[in-house]
Amino acid sequence: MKENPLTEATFYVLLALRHPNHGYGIIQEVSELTNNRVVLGAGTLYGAINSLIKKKWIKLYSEDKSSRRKKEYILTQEGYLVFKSEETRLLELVEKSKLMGEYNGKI
Amino acid sequence: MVKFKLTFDKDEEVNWLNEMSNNGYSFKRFCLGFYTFEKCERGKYLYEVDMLNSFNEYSKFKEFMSEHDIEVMQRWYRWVYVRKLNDDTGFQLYSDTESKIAHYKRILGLFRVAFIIELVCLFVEIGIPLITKEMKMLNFVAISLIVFFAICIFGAYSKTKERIRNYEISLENT
Repeated sequence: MKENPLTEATFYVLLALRHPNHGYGIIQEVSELTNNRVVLGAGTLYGAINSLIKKKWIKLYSEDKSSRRKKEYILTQEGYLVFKSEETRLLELVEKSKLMGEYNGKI
Repeated sequence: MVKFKLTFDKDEEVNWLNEMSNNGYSFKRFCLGFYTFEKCERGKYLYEVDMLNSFNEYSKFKEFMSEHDIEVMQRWYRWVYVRKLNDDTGFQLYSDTESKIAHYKRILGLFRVAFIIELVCLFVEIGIPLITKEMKMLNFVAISLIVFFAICIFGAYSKTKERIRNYEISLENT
């Protein structure tokens, strides 16, 4: 699966969809998780959801016509695997970054 | 109140609509350069303009935006006007560099279509006088208008391209 690295928006949308969530809930959750560092714009989220559905990384979970927040989405197995492989990549980066401790700063 | 404004640049249009809203006039409708405004509390709304991926996703887009308290006001082909109540948190449809680039690239696509239409019109307006061997005043006016619009569109096209380039540079630097 050569889909990494994920954009930050994609990463957090996938994460916020580990449980069923609607668009508004995704924005709220991502803002909370990042202390408002990543506040997804509605257009950014709209594009991300459409492209993730197309890739089958997420899918429609439920649609409630009566509620104002109509559609809920959820991660798919495929999306989960993409996320895990990104996690592996990020962990490797963090692990390797420790080597930087050898720098003595005197050059 | 109806105001005429000729702009092909999306950012300029958005800034102007927000400025009008700040002055107590909320944008209602657009038609061929004529913007209709209604009196409102100063700064009641914040505006944005977007360009849809396809013509027929309008209702889907509208429904999605309504879930985020964003009112989709009008569509012109794939060009859409949206607004939301100003709650002092700002209003930007696109929050990251990647989606901003995609947004401006869709707009570039629109300019390309406009160029092609312009070119076709220009051929017709130049071709007909060549065939009939008579240049009417009307042809001349039409050609001048086409050239004028082409210059305007080209200006907006270059500005948009410049923005994309800047965003791409900032992506490379991260």
